[in-house]
Amino acid sequence: MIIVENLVFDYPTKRALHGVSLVVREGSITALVGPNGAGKTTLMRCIAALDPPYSGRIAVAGIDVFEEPRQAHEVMGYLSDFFGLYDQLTVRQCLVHAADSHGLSAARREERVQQTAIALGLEDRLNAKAETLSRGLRQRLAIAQAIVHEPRVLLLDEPAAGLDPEARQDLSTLLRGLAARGMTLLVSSHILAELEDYSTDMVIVDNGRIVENRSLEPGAVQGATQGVPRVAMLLELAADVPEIAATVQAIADVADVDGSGREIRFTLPDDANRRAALLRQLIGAGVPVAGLSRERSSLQDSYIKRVNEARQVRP
Amino acid sequence: MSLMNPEFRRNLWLELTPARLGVSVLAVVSLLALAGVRDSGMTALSGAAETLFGVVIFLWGGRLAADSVLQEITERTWDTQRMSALGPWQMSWGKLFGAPICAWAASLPALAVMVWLDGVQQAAIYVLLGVLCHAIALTLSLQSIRKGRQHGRVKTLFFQFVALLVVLPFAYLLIWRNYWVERESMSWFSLQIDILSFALISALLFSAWAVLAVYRQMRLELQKPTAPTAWLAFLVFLLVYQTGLIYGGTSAVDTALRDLSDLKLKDATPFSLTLFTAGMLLSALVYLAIFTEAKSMIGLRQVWDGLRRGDWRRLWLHFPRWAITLKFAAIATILIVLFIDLPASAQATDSQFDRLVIASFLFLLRNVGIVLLCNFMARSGRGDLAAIILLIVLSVIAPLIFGGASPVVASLFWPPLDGSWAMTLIPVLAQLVLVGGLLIRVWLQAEKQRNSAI
Repeated sequence: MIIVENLVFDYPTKRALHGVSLVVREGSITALVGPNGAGKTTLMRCIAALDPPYSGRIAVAGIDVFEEPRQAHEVMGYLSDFFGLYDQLTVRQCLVHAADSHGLSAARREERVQQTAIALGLEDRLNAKAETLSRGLRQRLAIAQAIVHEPRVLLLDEPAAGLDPEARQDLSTLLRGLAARGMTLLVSSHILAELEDYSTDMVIVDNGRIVENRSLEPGAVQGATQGVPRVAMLLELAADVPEIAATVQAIADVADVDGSGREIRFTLPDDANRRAALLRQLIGAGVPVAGLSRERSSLQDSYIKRVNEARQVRP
Repeated sequence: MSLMNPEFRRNLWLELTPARLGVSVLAVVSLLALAGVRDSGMTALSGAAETLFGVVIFLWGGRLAADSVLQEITERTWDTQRMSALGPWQMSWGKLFGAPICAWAASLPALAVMVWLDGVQQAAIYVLLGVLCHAIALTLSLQSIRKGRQHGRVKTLFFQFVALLVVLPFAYLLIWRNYWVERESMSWFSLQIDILSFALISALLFSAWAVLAVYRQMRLELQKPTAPTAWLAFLVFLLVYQTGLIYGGTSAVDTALRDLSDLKLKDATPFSLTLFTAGMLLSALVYLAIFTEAKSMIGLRQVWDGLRRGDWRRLWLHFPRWAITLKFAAIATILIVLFIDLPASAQATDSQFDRLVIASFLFLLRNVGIVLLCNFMARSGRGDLAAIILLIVLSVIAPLIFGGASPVVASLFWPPLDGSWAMTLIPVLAQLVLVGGLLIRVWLQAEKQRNSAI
């Protein structure tokens, strides 16, 4: 849905993005993470066609954002970290303006304003001025403005900043709902725990480079076997088994075996029959299997590990 | 989409509040009534209508237009606007006519009186001047946010001031035409035209150019690929416009042009005068372009890369307007040196004149270099201000302090009228080499820093 090719962004004496290439798959919620000054906001603003890069190409839903920025904006929504609300307008006026500015017909506009207000819990505030809303409601209104035209891609820059836990939970639910309806979301945030709640993919940016771009679906790892993606698995045992790692490693299609004692981690093609075959072989070999599950790694652990690895490679 | 431009309607919602409209219209009507009561001959009413229109449209409306984008920067709504699917034309006219809509509405009673007492033609000129004033203020504010996204009341006032400066000659022509224009008609080339019609057509043309400028700046701001083609066309238009005035030989304009410099070019041929004024006009436009345009090393790097790779589209898209104008000024300088023969009555010889013209162009080059240097070295985005201060010191203060010391010292600051070739050119060439060397050094340092980061 979003294709970034060899994107270079320069400041007069500093290169902010070093030939970044990236693919964001349709229907995903991609967390864009990285330390301060890594280039996240610059990358997001380039994708939104707000800042022109030095070179490179970005296509959103097949539209070149630098050649046809206005068409690209018809299929994009963007929530900046400052919300961008007209305080003197009412909630309805804000939504009507956003809908019309994105080319919705008059009939469709009324329908979408109502639908969006209901979806964001703003239906009873339509005649309130934006300046009278609480921070949580202002954020909802800003999201409503960004999605009122039903964009295919929604870009959110630090959407949870300044929100209380309840509002963050609501945001998480909302974003999952939008993705479930087929919208592709790219979310930049520092709050990894919150991203973990709803992200399906993660892109780590450090020092203007992509250091990782992977799926966060439970157990998903990079690589595939005969076209079937591999997943990370956790095998739990009821008792210590000597040489268990070697036993597991010997089973067909198993790789990346790690651990000993009662917990073994490995990767396997994402296929129910192979998992069933694996269990049959282990039980047949007398291994006291207590459980087999996909492993969900912590986003925080994964992030720190990858950033450190990247910095060791590039001092 | 709604039939009404969403940006225009948003401005209606925000600007045209009943209280604001009621108070402003009431104030204008009251003042008009007061003028009408005090003078049964209607002269005072006509003057009051023109003055009120000027105050409401040029001062208040100009401020609203200048502030329309800057306000969005302050309130952090501009990125949301830029993310809309509105095209640059919709955004341009939505802002140009929407932001000062309350001023336009409040001016209507004054405009009605002007139509009644002064006629449609004169009222139409005032309306066009209002559009011109607002368009210039909006263009300047759009250009300023490309240089740095800061808002400030001083900026708004400055843009208003510049817009008024442009409008002033037209207002002068309208208000005091009876005092300085001896005839009712004038010539543009061989076309005979009455003064008021000429003012109307000129106001229309310049307003159209100013609206086009808003549109082009809006394109840039909305990231639509935009080459400086319109600026190039504007330069050609200006040159043709001024040539028409000179060849038309309208006495007042003609006299003004002939007395433009200390050279007293009385009796010069229209061709010589055209070349001379074109050179001066283009030099002024170089300053206008370089001070209004964003000057980034990235942009120049794009031009350089385009040139190196033969990517002409890239080169043209990033080509600075000041550089285009400078090229035109260089051509004008060459033509002036080659083709102008001074009349016997002029206060300089041909040779002196040639030296003066060449040195003036070199001073222009030096000044451009200084502006670029200040901008590339400034970290706080105040490069233009630093350049203006430095140029004032070099061109005004230093000559006052040191100019009397010796002709050689004086020639460091201004080209001398009666100096030798060496005395005229060597001081400015030395400065040019110094500024050029510093520019190259700053450029190479930036490249080195960037490459080390890669």
